[in-house]
Amino acid sequence: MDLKDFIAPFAVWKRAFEKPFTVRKPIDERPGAPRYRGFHMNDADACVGCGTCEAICMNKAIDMVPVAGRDPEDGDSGLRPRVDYGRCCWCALCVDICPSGSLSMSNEYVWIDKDPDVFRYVPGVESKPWDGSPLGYRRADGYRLLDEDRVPMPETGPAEAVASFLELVKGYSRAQAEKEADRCVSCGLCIASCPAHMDIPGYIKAVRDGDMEEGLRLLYDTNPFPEACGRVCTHLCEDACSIGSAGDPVAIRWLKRYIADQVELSDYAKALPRAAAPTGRKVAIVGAGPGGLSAAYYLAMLGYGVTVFEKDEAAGGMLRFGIPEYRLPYPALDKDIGYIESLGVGISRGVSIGKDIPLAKLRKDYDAVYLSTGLPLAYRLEVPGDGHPRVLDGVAVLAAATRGEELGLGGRVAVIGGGNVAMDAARTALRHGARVDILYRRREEDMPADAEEIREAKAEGARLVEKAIPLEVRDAEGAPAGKAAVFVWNEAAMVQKEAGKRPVPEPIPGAVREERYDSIIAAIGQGPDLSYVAEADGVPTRRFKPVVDADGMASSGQAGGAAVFAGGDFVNDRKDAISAIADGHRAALGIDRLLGGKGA
Amino acid sequence: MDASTFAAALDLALGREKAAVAFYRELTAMASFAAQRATLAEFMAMEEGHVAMISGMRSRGGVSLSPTAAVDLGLAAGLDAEEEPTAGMTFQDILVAAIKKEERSGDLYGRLEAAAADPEASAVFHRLAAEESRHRRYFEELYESEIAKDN
Amino acid sequence: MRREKQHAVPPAERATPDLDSGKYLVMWQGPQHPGITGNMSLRLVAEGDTVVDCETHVGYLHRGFEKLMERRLYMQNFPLVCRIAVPEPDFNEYCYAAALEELAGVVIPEKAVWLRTLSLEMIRLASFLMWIGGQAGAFGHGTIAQWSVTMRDYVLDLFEELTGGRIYHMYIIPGGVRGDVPAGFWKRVLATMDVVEKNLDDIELVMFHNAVFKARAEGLGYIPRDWVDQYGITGPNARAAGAGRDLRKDSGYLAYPRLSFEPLVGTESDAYGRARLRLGEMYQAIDLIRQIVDRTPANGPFREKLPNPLHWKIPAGETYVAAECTRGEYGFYVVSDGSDKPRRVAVRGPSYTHAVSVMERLVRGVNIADVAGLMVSLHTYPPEIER
Repeated sequence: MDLKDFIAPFAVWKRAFEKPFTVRKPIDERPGAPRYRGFHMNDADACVGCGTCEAICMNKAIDMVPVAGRDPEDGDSGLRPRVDYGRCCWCALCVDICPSGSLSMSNEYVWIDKDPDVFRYVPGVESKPWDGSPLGYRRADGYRLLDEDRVPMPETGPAEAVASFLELVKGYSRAQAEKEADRCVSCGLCIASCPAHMDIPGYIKAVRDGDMEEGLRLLYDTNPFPEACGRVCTHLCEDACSIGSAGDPVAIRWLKRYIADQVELSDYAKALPRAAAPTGRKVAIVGAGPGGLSAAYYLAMLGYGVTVFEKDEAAGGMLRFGIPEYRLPYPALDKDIGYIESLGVGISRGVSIGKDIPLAKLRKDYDAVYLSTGLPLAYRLEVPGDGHPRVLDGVAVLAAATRGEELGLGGRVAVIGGGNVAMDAARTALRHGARVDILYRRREEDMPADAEEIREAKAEGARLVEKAIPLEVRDAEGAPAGKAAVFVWNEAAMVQKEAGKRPVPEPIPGAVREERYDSIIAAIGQGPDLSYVAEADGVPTRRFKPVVDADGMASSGQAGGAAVFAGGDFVNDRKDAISAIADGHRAALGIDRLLGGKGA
Repeated sequence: MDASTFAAALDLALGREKAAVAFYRELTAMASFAAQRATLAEFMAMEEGHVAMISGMRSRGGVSLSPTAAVDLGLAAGLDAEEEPTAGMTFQDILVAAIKKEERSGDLYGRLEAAAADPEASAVFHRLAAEESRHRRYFEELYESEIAKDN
Repeated sequence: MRREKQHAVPPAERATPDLDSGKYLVMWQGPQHPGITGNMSLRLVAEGDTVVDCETHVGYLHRGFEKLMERRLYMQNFPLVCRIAVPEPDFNEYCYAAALEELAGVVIPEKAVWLRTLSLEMIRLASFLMWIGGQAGAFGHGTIAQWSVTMRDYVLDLFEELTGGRIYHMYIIPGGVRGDVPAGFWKRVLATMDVVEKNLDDIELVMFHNAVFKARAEGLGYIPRDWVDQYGITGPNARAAGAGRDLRKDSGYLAYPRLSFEPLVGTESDAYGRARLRLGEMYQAIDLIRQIVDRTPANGPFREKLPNPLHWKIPAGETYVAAECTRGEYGFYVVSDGSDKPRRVAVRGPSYTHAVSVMERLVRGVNIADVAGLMVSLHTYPPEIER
């Protein structure tokens, strides 16, 4: 120890003359850093209420709660996260994982209140002084906990695709399927939007776990057409998918297909539940489309003897006769139907109810009847000349293609309409070597067809003529009568005539166009054939739709015979396979309840 | 407007609505199955409602109809009404017939409005034409949502 | 003025004082005592003002971290581990993340390697700044604490800017880090380092050339070189005793093999010698931070994409990942069973040895007034004892 050890300590005094380190709060504000993790903010409109924040929160500080003025809808649970600051640790994993990107944090860190119960609120719903703060924690660019990009599906390119009817979509490999399944956050928004309310997160988990039998079991709980739906479902689930709120939705449809493709039909029985003991009761089903056969499947599982009457020579309905095989190959459909038949469901093919057997007889011979006859009648163009022999109906063209008949469409084909039938007809014509125009009354974005169908049709070479109002069909000059036709249309401008309604195509005066075609395929819409239902059957209809109750029941059964249930395209508004399947399931449960089965 | 002109105008309208009821009755007679009959019965009931409404206005002596015509969706003009409904008529056939019928009525009232010497009679026809346009619009919307769904 | 080393009595020779004799006073230091560096307590038996026996009591802070981790998804543990050592959360974050990455076979991007090293050296500096305030304060020099805690806050300002948090940074996430540095950050890092360095010069002058500090710290808590292996002493406590071990050098993790530095080694591990060595390590940290600022790549990804955290499963296996924290070897032993949650996580904090067994042995013969100074000189954080 030396002298310095006694003098040096006095050097501390120099600080006495320097500026203090401290901040004079509240005179000098000291805001948090730009990325400070302060109190939460939520863009309640961008939020889809998926609850992934709640799932990742290790403190259980987040609860999804209903909020006033926000109702559940497809792709939005209507719930919003409520943060409890008695539990929150400000780790911001909720912000990092948020699929929609709606959650963020302000840089505000001071909040004083006498009432301890207020420190729990719904950001973005209960207003706070820091709402809309431009500063605070945001997840960094290029940093995401979730994968926003879908695993690409191997597909045949358009040039090769149009050369044959081979299936375009090749299906995921195991590694691809598991990677895609990993993207799911199991929020379940999809379940609510699926007409059949399939346990989508459940079967996606089965894919992740590599448990195909469990996956198949979950599929069959609500849908006995996994091979078909795994290919052609309208996948409302993917529209609702929370991952899709700021990225590609999970490829739910392809994952469903993956599961079904992995299990051989001969192994189905091992994976799937056995049917209940026979009840001794019989149910007749009219129409062997997806709806009718779904009802048949669930009724068979409940122990009913089921006979399905199908007017065509093969079962499958629109799945077989309306959807081209490049989208749904027949072996895949046959697998779905084959399993249903293996349960003892009888399908009487080529038997038309109404023509061959009256409905009244079914009502007499069976304990219940389910009608699922769909929309077989194509509506006419309803313009002068629409009876020209070269004006064909889209549904009939597709059915002829399924039957392998010579279509004789010629080299130049017009398809009138913008729905999926129009796209299927156009792409079928393309595969027969035709040059195809698709004429639609409105704009491309108004077309009811699936966006990918439109995209693929165009990629395969179809020309899309938008805003074309059909005017008339004339026999083409210079050709033998009835061998070619001229289609005349009026170019239209979209006019917003009324606020809140969709714009109306208004003909542009003088802008009349015409083109010569070998075939004109009308695909503007289809209607039901209800000629087989008589007043005596007690089935009420309104505007050509059977009126059913919440169980799908149209008639509870009079003295004249058994109760009648109805469902599928001619009852519901969605008019797609999955809705028909849901209707069939619902009716099966309704019939079981009515007949006092065990499932009642 | 003097009472006679007013009454004459409404009598004419009443006649048209009764003709509309008869039109649906005629179609019903032609129908072959239940769904057709149920739909025609519904549309006929609408026309019967119109008959009652116009009778009411005639006895009250005042027209309570909006003068605002419905927006024209442009469907009626394009529809081909050459073919008459048959026993196998579809929902499309029935709706086309209904739309054409409403259009014809609207056209007639429009012509009467133009021809009327009396301004008040003209106003009554104007309102009747507007009413028919709303009926037509109702059926057109139904046509768009139920028939030409894909176009 | 070096004290005699008579208080280094081996535990086996400890005699239990006869408390009924009336000769002794039993007193508790802690759990609420600033000299105890956290929620821990010492049951002291004093004869006069000399401690003759001591029992350490822990458990006041037990939150069951290791068990909690077995019930949480791998990613959910990421915000949890930082709480195991409050003043130095980043070592937990690093060890946990690195253990998972090793088990899952994940290689993190170059940029993340550097940003992780930066965050570990910054927290080393911040932690030492808090420690030196405590060490000075334990001997009555509160002024040093006021300076050094301010300097620590300047470092925490940098953390706030980089990570969005001051204490719990939650920045080192499995796969990399959570974000790049903000614009202008490096300039502010260097400016802060200059300020801290200048302040360290002042502290060196008034604390280490201080008759009172020397009188009380020299010879206090002397750790002979041969205890290092017997007790498993690590870090500055060991290096001050002449054991030149430093995991940054010895196991070469993160960017350390590419940084230029040599472990500091002392000759006398008493309170004064350890403080000197730690002061040296603070300068060393500043030097390392300057090197990191210089060499961190400007571009490139800062995180490797991992599977969805809600389903992330790690193949079965086990690993031990250790890092050199301010107090020595900090390690995470992680066992995975192939599921989405760790089967077992064991945290090795250096304070377990230093604050329990070494402390119990060193405290005997010490004046009650020096117990706090002794405790701080071992630089221990009780929460890491009771995970």
